[in-house]
Amino acid sequence: MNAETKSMLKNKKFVGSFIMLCLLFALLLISLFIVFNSSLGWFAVSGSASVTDMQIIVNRFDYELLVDRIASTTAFDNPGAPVAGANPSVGDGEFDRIDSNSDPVYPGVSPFKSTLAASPYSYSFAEWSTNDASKLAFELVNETQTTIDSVHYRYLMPGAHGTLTFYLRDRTGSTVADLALTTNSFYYTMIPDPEDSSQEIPHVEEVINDTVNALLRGHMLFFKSRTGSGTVADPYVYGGLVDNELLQIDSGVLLDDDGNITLPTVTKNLKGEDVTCYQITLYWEWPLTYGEINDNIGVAASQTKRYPASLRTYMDDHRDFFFLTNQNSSDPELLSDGYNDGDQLIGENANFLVAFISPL
Amino acid sequence: MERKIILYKRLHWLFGVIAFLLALASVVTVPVMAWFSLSRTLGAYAPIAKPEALFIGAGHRDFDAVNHVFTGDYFENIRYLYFEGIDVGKGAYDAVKGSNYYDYVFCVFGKAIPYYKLQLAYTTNNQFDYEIFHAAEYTATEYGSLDDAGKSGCIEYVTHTETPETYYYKATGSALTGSFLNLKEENGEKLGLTVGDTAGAGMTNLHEATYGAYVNVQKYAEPLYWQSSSVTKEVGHAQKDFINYYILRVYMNGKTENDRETDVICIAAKSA
Repeated sequence: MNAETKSMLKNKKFVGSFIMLCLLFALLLISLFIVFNSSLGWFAVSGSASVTDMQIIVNRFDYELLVDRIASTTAFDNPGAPVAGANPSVGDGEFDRIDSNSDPVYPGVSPFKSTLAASPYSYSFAEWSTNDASKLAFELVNETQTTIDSVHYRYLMPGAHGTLTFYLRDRTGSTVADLALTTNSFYYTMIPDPEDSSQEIPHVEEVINDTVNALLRGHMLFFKSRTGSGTVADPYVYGGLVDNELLQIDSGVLLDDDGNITLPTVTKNLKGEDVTCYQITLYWEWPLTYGEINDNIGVAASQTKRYPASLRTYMDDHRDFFFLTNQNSSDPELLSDGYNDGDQLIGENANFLVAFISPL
Repeated sequence: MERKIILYKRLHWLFGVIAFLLALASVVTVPVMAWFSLSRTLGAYAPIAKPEALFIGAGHRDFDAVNHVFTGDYFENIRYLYFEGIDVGKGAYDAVKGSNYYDYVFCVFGKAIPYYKLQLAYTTNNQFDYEIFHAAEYTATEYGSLDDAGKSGCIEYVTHTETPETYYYKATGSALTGSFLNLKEENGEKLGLTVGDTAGAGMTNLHEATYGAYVNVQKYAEPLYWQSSSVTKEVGHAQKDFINYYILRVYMNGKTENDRETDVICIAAKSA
């Protein structure tokens, strides 16, 4: 081997080493980016300044999710204390609606909220805390009531309907936000007191029965739009079924196969500053009967039907979401029985429903 | 040249270690990030109503009256309440009402419903009257040991089980008190209030609740709504299973000719 070849070899080694170095440097940059990214999420969440109008629950680089703040200063000064007007002293089992003094006692609400506040859920409650929270729970708006012994209750039940409202602050103006909408249920029971086995204490835990949870997906329906006034002559007409537990928002537009919905903007006060957000209102309904669904699925544009045609596809694809029994039947009467049996099973097994919304 | 290579080699080594550590860190932090993004959710909650365990059936259901529990799950479906075989000239005769009548048995059963109301809704093509009575149940053996007066007025019901069993039912006491919600009387006919009618005292026009905006409804198709008194409520059981039998008495009201008129009758029970 002569000197020239030796030098060339060394040169080759040098070139190889240099390329390797560049690759490693690139790898380093990528790693740095990933680490930076993931830690920043953490930093953004940890901010917890007080707010006056809204609470941040999700803070991303490019968007924030917010909900209306519903606490009074009382709760802020003394977290966990009853909000003036109507609220939560823990243990009295009162279902604390913030907008009304007259709502009655709902069995199990206190232990339910305790469960949701404890690990692994660790939710803060909008009426208890005014801080930003990484997990925030608030009451679903139920527009219907049922009267039992002259007392008005706002229970979820067949025939009930209402809304769910939150806000998105788009920091870039063209953000794509994918949100998951999932429903879970909880049940209330009495268990022996671990400290005194002669006593029973209320206990709430998540329903893990897959059949119940599947049925909820077909009985508690969420829609992206609603028209009409809810009267007999002018019933609610729904559009944009949320059929795959997914909400996609792109540049202030709520995407839907049947036609995108341009989200209205509202100006809200956030930490002493006016901010403009998109308002997202979802409309939910628990259809009364199978007949109510079947008679009201839109097929032609000329007919006024209460539900979008996509509900038919959803029902055909997921018979187990709708019918507990007679799933494979085509007899409307048997399907109606199957739907009612589903209602019955949900009611027997679940005492509370929670609709979770989280970024994907 | 040698020195440069050594320097590069050292840098190479150093960068390698750093990149390795960062890669490791990213592996560790990515699941952590997933944990955080999972945690950032909002939850809208609401209580779900407990369904009422209140049902209507036709005839017999096996029941342990001592312990207040149903023995077995089988009950006679309400679709076994047949109205066939009405022959207007025949049937038993009620002198006070001045009308022939037919009796049919049905039951209300459930669990942990202390009180409830019975409701009837029916179309008026036939101008029949309906009354509801509490009923006593007799097994075939019990029926066999009744005297003639005891047997009188009993109606027979055969169950739809694999081995059919026969039970007998007889109205007891007087008819349940109750009131109509939307009654009007027109040329001696009892009809439901329809479009444009002014409701009399204590009555409500329920046309819109029944038919919505649709107005072309024949007068006999406007259902009459009746419900049992909310003062003297029907008694279930506050904690346990219960079953009560009823007789639905259909008065022919002097109708003398069998024809092809059809009426729809709905019976409902609602906790009160």
